[in-house]
Amino acid sequence: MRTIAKIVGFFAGSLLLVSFLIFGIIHLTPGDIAEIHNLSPSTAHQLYLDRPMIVQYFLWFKGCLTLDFGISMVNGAKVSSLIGEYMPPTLLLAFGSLFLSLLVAIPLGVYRGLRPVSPLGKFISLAVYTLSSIPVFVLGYIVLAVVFGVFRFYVTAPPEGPFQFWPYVSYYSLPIFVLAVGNGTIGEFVRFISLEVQNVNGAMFIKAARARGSRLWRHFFRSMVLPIFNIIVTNMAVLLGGLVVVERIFNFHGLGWLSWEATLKRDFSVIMGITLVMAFLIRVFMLANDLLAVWLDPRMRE
Amino acid sequence: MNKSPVRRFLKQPGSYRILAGGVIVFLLALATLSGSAWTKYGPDDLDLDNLLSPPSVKWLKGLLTTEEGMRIQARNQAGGRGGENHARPVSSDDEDLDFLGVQDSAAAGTATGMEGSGTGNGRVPETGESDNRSEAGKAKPHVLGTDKNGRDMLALLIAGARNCFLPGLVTCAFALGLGVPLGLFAGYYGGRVRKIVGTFNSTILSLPRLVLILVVICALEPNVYYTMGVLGATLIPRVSELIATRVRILSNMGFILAAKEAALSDFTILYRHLFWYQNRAVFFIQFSLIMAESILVETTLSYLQFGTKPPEVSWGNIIEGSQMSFFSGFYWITFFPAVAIILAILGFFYLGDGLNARLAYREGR
Repeated sequence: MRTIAKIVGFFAGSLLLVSFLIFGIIHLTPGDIAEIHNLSPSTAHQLYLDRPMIVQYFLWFKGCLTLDFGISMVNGAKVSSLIGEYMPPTLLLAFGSLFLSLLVAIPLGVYRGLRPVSPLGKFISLAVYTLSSIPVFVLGYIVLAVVFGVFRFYVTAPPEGPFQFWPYVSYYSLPIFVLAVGNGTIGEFVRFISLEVQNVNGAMFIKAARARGSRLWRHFFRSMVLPIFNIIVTNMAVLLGGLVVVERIFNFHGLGWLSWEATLKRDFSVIMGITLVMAFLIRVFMLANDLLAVWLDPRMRE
Repeated sequence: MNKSPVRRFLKQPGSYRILAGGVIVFLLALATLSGSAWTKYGPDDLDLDNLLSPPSVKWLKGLLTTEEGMRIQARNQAGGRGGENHARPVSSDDEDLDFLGVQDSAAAGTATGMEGSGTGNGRVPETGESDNRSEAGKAKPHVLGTDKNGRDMLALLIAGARNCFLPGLVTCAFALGLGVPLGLFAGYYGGRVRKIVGTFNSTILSLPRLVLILVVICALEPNVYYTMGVLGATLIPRVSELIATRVRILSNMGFILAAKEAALSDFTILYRHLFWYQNRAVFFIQFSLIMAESILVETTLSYLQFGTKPPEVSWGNIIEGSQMSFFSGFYWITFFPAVAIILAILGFFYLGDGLNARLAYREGR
């Protein structure tokens, strides 16, 4: 119980730190924020820009706790409604590509871990290295060139109206593919999983199980759940960062695209809101990871 | 057995990766240092007779040039060598070029911030010694073709190498300069120091790297060296955790206890015994991997228009500036920078990975 309280406390504390960091960086900006955007006094008041800095931070953070991130400095839209509008496609994209990369990486990683020096195992590691060195935007162009030049089926505009199978599939498939392959996610997963399989394969308890003649895959499975979840969590940040590029290439309207747009227009409140939401997402995953570790691994309970 | 040193080197694991990576990194460093001193064209020379001319290497041309590209080149040459209309090798109502924004060559000259004077006769006067550059009628070939402003692709690639390499060094300075001491302290002292470093690391790790960089760009001016510093800061957790884990194991070993007994200062123990004697291999491996990472991020940022700004050349912004050219037959404008990016990153990755394999092999013995 105490361990769990500690974990949750750490979660809250680190979110506080992250929010302070974001606020601090944004307010490093030279010059007056209200002047940069020519805000009217009433808007500036609404964004607490006329208060002392420390008061501003607490008011902003208090607003964030109730999902009120202020209003956009460019067009006055509510940041929370902007995020609410752009988040669902982004989440679908992120989790779709996560799923795809796990689907590819687990078999490859397990094979490479079991037979690291076989020709196929060596080929897998070479291919993985080469793939992870292709930047997302280059891969995106290669894919676009192939798709436009050869197949001509891609839908560039976001589908509207009721759900139709084909436009949605073609709209999501390419970004999901590029994000999974080009962002180094698959490469990282394969490398990590194969290393972990190698470790587990050499462990005493597997040798003992093999000697007993019991079913090996159960022991394997139990000891692989935590590492796999762990690598997913450590890769969440990379995944969400890659969204910015992928959404820009494919003109995919999601959080990454919104943050790119906000940076271009220097829309401070929007970028602060998006960053905080992303940090919150990552933190929630880390929290889940820690709790899962406590639940599955009795040694963690102290 | 009496083996030659080359044989012995090649027998260790990772040697081929080290060789391949080393060659690429060496070439990259050479390109950074030499600049375009040895090429026939500089990155600022506009060859207005040969806008968008394809690569002049024969086998490459046969292998890669699309029919459309050939057609345009043929028309280009017909227009350029025609005599009177030097200023407009390609007429402005040409639908193939309109999307690239080439209205006329004078506009192209000023838009890139080059010397726009004298574009009337179709050739930009070279500054300084230019006897090896193109003489009238006898143009030197563009080995990798030219872009929409008539700039030589090879010269652009070499100029871009500098803007990949130098920001990478800034990243390394930040990531290693702060990450290594933090890791050493955390591993050696443990306790509260370790906790503070851990909190710092987990705060940084809970922000997506690219988004954090966007936040900084939003707040400050988009400057490559700021963003590379931020990238370095986001890599501190990786370096410091790696070093801390190794140091934690090492600091209970006999030689460190002996050094403590001999009343050596903490500084000597940390930097000489723990860092230089035990961890410098890790340092160089991380240096290589971080360079790869920073080239990746720099080109990505330049592509997103937040990195190197257009008058300066970077591989990322060459691709950004000629977005759609790939789809209309001018493959070489995006193809070569893309290959350069992939090769550079691959080179550093291979070097780091090969060194890592060798380290693991040696420590395993």
